[in-house]
Amino acid sequence: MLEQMFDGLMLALDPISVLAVGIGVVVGILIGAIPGLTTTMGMAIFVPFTFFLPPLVGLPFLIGLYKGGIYGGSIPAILINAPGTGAAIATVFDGYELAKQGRAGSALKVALFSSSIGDTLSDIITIMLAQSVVSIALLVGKPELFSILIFSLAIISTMTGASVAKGLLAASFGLMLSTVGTDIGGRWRFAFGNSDLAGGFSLITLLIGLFAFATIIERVLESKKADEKQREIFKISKEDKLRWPEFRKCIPHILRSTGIGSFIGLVPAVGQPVAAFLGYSCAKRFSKEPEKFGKGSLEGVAGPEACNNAVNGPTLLPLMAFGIPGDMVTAVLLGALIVQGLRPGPGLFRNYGDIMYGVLMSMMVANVFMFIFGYIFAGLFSKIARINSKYLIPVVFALAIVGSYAVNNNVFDVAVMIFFGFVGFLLNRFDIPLAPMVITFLLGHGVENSLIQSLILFKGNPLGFFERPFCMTLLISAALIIFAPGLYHWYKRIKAF
Amino acid sequence: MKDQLRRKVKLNRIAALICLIVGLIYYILIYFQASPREVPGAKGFGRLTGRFFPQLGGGIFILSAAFLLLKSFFNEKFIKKTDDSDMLKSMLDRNEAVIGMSRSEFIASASITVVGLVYAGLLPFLGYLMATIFAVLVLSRGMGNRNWLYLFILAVVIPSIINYVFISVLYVPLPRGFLSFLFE
Repeated sequence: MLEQMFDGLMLALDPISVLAVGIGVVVGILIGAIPGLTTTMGMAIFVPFTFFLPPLVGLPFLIGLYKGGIYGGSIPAILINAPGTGAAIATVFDGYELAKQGRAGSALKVALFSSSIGDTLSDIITIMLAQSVVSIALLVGKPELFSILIFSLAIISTMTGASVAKGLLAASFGLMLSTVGTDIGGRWRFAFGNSDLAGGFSLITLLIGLFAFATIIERVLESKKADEKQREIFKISKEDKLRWPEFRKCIPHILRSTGIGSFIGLVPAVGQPVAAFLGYSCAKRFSKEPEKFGKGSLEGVAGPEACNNAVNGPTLLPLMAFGIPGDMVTAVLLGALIVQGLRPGPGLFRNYGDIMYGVLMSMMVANVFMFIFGYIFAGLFSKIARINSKYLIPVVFALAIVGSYAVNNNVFDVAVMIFFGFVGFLLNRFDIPLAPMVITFLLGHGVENSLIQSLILFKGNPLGFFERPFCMTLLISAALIIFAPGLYHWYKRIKAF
Repeated sequence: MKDQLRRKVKLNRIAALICLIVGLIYYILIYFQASPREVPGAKGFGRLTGRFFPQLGGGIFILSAAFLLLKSFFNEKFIKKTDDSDMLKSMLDRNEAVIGMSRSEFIASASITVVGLVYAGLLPFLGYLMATIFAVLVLSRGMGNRNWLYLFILAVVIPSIINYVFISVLYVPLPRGFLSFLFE
C-alpha cells in the first residue's frame, strides 16, 4: 500500500497533472463565484474534455474543478448574499453580515482557511481509509450489494427533497430511465428499434441536459423579467485585517466541523448543504459568543465552510467501493472514472492502485492551489462575482452541445441532452429533486443485476433476503427511513384534524 | 397563507397527474418493448424476465404519483377545514415547496426546447461552427446582450476556439456540414 501511495504521489506531482489541477481549481472558483452557475453544471460540461485526456490529467482537472467550485461558492455568499453553490447556503448567515460591517476580506479569509484546513484533513482521512474501505467490497455478495444499494437509495430519496413522495418519484423515474437500452439477457428494451438507444442513455448526456441545458432555459426566462432586483455588492476594504486572536477562536470549530463533514461524506446523498447547516449549528452551540451568530461572526463562517469542504474527500469512499455516488458531483466523477476504465469495486486498487492514489493525492494538490489562488486573487474573484451570468450562458450552450456530441460522436445525443434539459427544468419547477433521479439512473443496472442474481440464488424466493441478517437489517432500515417520517407526520395531522 | 398553500397543492396535483400519465404509458410500453423471456439462469422462476425490473420501477413510480395525487386532495381538504396557523406554516415550510411556473413560462421553455431540437437536426447539414454561431447569436440577443463586441466574442470567437480544440487538439470529428472544405 505504501509503495502504491508513493507511486501515486509521484504521479500526482507530475507537472502536467499539477497544471491540470491548477486550471481545474481556477475554473471551479470562477464557476462557483458566479451566481447562477453551479459546480455540478461546470463538471458536467467539462467532463467530455477529459475523455480524450490521460486519467491523471482529466481526473485531477475535475477534482480541482470540484474543490474550487465548492470554495468559490462562498465568495458571492459573503459579498452579495447569494450562495454560488448549495454548499455555501449557511455561509450567507454571517458572511454577508460581516461584509455589511466592512469585514468582507476577513470573512473571505476565514472561509478560505477553514475550507483549506477542512478539505486537507478530510483528504488525509480519505487516503488512509481508501484501500480498507474498498476491500470491504470483496466481502460483499450479490444479496448484500442489493441491500446496500437499496439502503443508499432510501437515504437518497428521503434526504434530498422536502417530500418523501417526491423523492421516491424522482428515484423511480431514474430507475425507469435506466431500463432503456439492453436487458440483463442482452435483449433490446425500450429501444424502439433505434440502435442509438440500444446502449441506453449516456450518463454524461443526461447530466449535461439536466444541469447545463436546464440552467440555460432558466436563465433565458430570468433575463426576460424586467423587475430583477439589483443586489448590493460589497468590496474588500484594505483596512480590514484578520487578526490571529480572531482566527484562533475559529480553530476548534474548524476541527469539529472537519470531523462532522468527514462522517457526512461517508453517507450517500447527505451532501454539502446538510453538512454546512450542521457545521453552522454546532459552531453556534459550542461558541462562547453564540449571540453574535447571524449578526456577523467569523466563527459562523468557519463552521459551515470547514464542514462543507470536509465532505469532498470521504464522499469518494462509497463511490470507489460500491460505485455509489454521494451526490451529483460525485455522480459526474463516477461517469469520468468509468470512461477512463476505472470501474469502482474491489479491483480498483488492486489493478489501478497507483492511478487511484494519484487521483486522491491530487486532491491535496488542489487544496494547495485553492489556498494560494484564494489568498492572492481574492480581490479578483470578488470582481468575478459581479459578472452577470447572461454573458456566460451562451458559452455554456456551446460547450453543452459539443460535450453531448463528443460522448458518442452522435447528433442523437445532442437531441437527448436538449430533451433532458426540458425535463430537468420541469422537475426543478415542480420541486422534484434531481439527485435521486440521477443517482438511481446510475445505479439502476447494478440494482437490477444484483436483484436478479440474488433471486436466482434464492430460487426465486424474495424472502431469502431476510434469512441473511445483514440484508435484513439494511432492508428493514431502508423501509423505516422511507415510511417512518411520513407515518409520524400523518399521525400528527390526523390527530389535529 | 391559505392561498399560497392552495396554489402549491394545485401545482403538486398537476405534477402528480403528469407523472401518473407518464407512468401508465411506460407500464403499457413494457408489454411491447421488453422481452417476456426469462433471463439466463432463471429458468423455472417464472417472473424473472426482461420485464421484471421495469415493472418494479414503473410500479413504484405510479404508486408514488398516485400517493402525491391523493395527498393533494387530502391537503386541500385539510387547508379548508383547519385554522391551526402553526400547522399551516409547517406545511408551507416542510414540503411541497413548489416553485411552479406561469403558462407563458411553460410555453417559452417548450419553445426553447423545440428550437434546440431543430438546431440539433440542422447540425449535420450546417456543421457545428455555423449552426452554433447562429444559435449563440440568437441566444445572446434573446438574453439582452446588445454590445456587438460581446456578441462577436460570444458567437464567433468562442465557438471557433471550441471547434478548433475539439477537431485539432482532441481529434473529435465534430459535424462540419457544407463548410467541410474549409477544414480539409
